[in-house]
Amino acid sequence: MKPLETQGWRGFVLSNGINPALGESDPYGMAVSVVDEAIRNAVAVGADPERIAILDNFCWGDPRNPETLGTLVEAARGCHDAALHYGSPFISGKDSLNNEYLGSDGKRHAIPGTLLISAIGIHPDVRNAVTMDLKAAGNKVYLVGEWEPFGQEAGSREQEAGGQPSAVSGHLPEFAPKIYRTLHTAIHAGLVRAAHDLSEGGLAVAAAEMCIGGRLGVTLEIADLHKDHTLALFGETNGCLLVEVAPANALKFEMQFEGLPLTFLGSVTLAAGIVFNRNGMPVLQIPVEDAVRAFRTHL
Amino acid sequence: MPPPPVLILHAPGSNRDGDLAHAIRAAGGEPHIVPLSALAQADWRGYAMLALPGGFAHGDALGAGRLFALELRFTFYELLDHFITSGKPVIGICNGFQALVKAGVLPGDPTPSPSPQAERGVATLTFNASGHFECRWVTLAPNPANPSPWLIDLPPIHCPVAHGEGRLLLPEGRTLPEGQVALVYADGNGNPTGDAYPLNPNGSPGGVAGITNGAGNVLGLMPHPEDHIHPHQHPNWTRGHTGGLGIKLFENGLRNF
Repeated sequence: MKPLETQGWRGFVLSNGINPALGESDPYGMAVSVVDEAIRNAVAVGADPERIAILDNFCWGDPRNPETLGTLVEAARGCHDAALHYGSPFISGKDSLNNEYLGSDGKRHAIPGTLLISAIGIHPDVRNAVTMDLKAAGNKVYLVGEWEPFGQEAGSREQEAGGQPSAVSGHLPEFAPKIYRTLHTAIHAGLVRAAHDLSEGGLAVAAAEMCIGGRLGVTLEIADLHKDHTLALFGETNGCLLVEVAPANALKFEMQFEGLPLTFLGSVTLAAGIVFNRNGMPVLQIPVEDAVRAFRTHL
Repeated sequence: MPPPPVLILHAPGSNRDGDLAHAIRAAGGEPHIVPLSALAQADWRGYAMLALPGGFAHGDALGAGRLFALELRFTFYELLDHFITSGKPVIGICNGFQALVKAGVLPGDPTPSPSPQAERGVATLTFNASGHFECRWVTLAPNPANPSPWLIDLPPIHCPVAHGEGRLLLPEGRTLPEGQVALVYADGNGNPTGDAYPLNPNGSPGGVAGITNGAGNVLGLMPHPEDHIHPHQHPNWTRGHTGGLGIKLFENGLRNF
């Protein structure tokens, strides 16, 4: 955002991270994941990772229940560790406890302990702001960040769809602060056409959202990501983004990320399909117009 | 030369006065936002332009713009008459346009009337044909048959609409003189599209988005050209599409009268 009456081109970014499904099995993992997600979202549009502050909003059950208090402590510990890892201060916060209701079974039930992290960051020059919609056919698509999908089961959206919760959930990606600084430099050097975080629903959902926004297709090769392609497509991972780069800037972009985890996945296409290949053979393809319809209409 | 001072009226519930002030400043004017409650004490004769912003004056009670129009006609008729008859530029945007129509200033008589208090409303802005509030970007094309100084060398403008009552209707058998149509809804290339929804968001016959009075100094329009003064305000600017800016309209108002 750029206030109308301010001088120059400096702006600010508001973003957030939330994922209550992760908290069901691991409140600590949820906390570090949503701090990472909020910061990653801000960095994706061009916020300076050195100038991001965060807020916490806890919505929880009755903390007089020892188990509920325990999950709250774990989530707070995650906030502490993540804030130090990214060097982002908590500047405020809010809690809403006792979110419980009386069920038809006559017992009190707590809502899923939910942590919303909001981030505010300084954007040095809004003219360089990047959006998540794919921009042009022929552009290259990279996966940036440490690809470590959670556990043996795919992510929280799959869990909601009836799968088992992940055995191991989110953790802090070691190199993420350095990766975010590098991405920030690349964005303000004009090398990035689109960037989008991998969060709920993993790689497949992030790619589909970029296609929906740009009304363009992609063909991505996922064989090297994981032997289990369900996990490659839907596994959730912290610290990762999909980045669209014009071919003319691809070499410069790759050089910026030298020594950091960067995987070339494929290209933006005019053909209106979201296509995921394994060794060149499609394992999932969705027409963009179907994805648009699913996005715009009710379930 | 100092920038021409522009009077922006603020009725309770007006909310686009800040955007309008920004556009006027960017176009080289000096905006002054004056609440109606302070207008009686204001020396308004020195202003070079009168501007009525969008919003929900008086919470749209009795209909959008209705109470604002009554205040203009009965409490501030002297001010309104001064701007209309002196030939100074007057612009009403969205709710401001609704107020000018419901006050009978637009489309008005073919010749300026000496008495704004006289009942002369012949048009209304009523509920969109779609039956709901329309909030999105549209393209406006100027009508070459309208000689108003507001429209000289005006390119097509890309800007948002945000209204529920924007369909301009005249009584049965009456039509607007062709020369008073100022702006019509158009496709992305600036070609008028007439009644076709959704390019025409409200169902105004002929795709009329804005009109002038017979003298050409009073302009009213439903869309918000004040919200596209900088390329980065366009929703698709990161894709390299910015469309026509609205600033030229305000420059015309400040320079051509």
